[in-house]
Amino acid sequence: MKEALLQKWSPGQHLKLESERFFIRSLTPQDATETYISWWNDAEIQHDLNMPARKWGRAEAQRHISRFDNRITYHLGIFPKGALLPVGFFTINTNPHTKVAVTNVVIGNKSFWGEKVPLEVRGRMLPFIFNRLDMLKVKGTIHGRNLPSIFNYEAMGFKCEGILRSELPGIDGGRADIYVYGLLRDEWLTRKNDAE
Amino acid sequence: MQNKAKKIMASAFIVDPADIHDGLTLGSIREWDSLGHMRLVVAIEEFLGKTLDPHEVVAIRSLADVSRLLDAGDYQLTVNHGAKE
Repeated sequence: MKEALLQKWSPGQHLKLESERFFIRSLTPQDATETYISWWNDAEIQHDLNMPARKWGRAEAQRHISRFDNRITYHLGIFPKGALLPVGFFTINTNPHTKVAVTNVVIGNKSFWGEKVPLEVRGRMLPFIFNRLDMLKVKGTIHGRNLPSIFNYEAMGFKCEGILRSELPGIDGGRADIYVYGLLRDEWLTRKNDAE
Repeated sequence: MQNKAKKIMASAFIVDPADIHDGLTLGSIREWDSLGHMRLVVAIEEFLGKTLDPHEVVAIRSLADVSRLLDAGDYQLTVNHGAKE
C-alpha cells in the first residue's frame, strides 16, 4: 500500500512516506505550529547546528517551509504514528546535475533524543533518494563537534570524507570544524544486499 | 590497555564489562547508540586528559580502535611526564 502511494507520487507533489514508527511527509505553511517554531528558537537544538536561537515568529517559519518545492528541495516532518505534531524534520537538497543530495535531520522533541529516530528516518529516506530521485551520492555535514550525529552517519555506513578544520566561527566562541560525510549509491546497495 | 578500554566502554554503554567482547564494533550492540557514543568519546578524553583530535574522533569504530587510542595516549602521557622531570 505504502509503495503503491509512492509510485503515484511525482516531483512537485506533497510527499508522504512511512517507516516503522513514523510518517514522514512534506511540511506545509500550516505546519508552522508553536512546536515547530520553538525548535528554531531553542538554543540547545540550534547549538548542534552551530547556530544561535533564531527568534522566529510564524511568518519566518512559514516563509522557510514555503522555500521547499518537493521537486529539488524537500522539508519533511517526522510524525510518530497517531500523533498530530512532528518530533523533527528531515531536509533534502538535491542537485539534479551532479546527482548529489545533501540531507539534514533535526529532532526537535527532546524526549525523542536517543531513540534512534535519525537512523530510522534516514534509513527510510535513502531508498527514496537513490531510487526515486536517482541520486548517486548522499552527503551530510556536521557543523561542530556533534558526537551523536557522527555516530549516526558512521552507523549507516557513511564515510567521513573530510574534516574542514576551523572552518567557521563556533557558536561557543573560537572556531568550529565541519565533518563531511558521504554515502555512494553503490556502497548503499552493497550494504543493503549484505543485510538481506 | 584492552581491559581498560573494555571498562571505559562498559561504563559508557552502561553494560557489564563481560558484554564488551573482543570483536565489538560501532552499533553492534543496542547500547552502543548515539548517546552511548557521546559518553564514550567524553570518557576517553577524560582518561587521556585531552580533547581528541577530530580525526581521532571519527576513527572510533571498535574496541580495537579504543584500545589503540588509549595505548597511544598512554605513550604520550609517559613521554610528557618524562619531559617534565
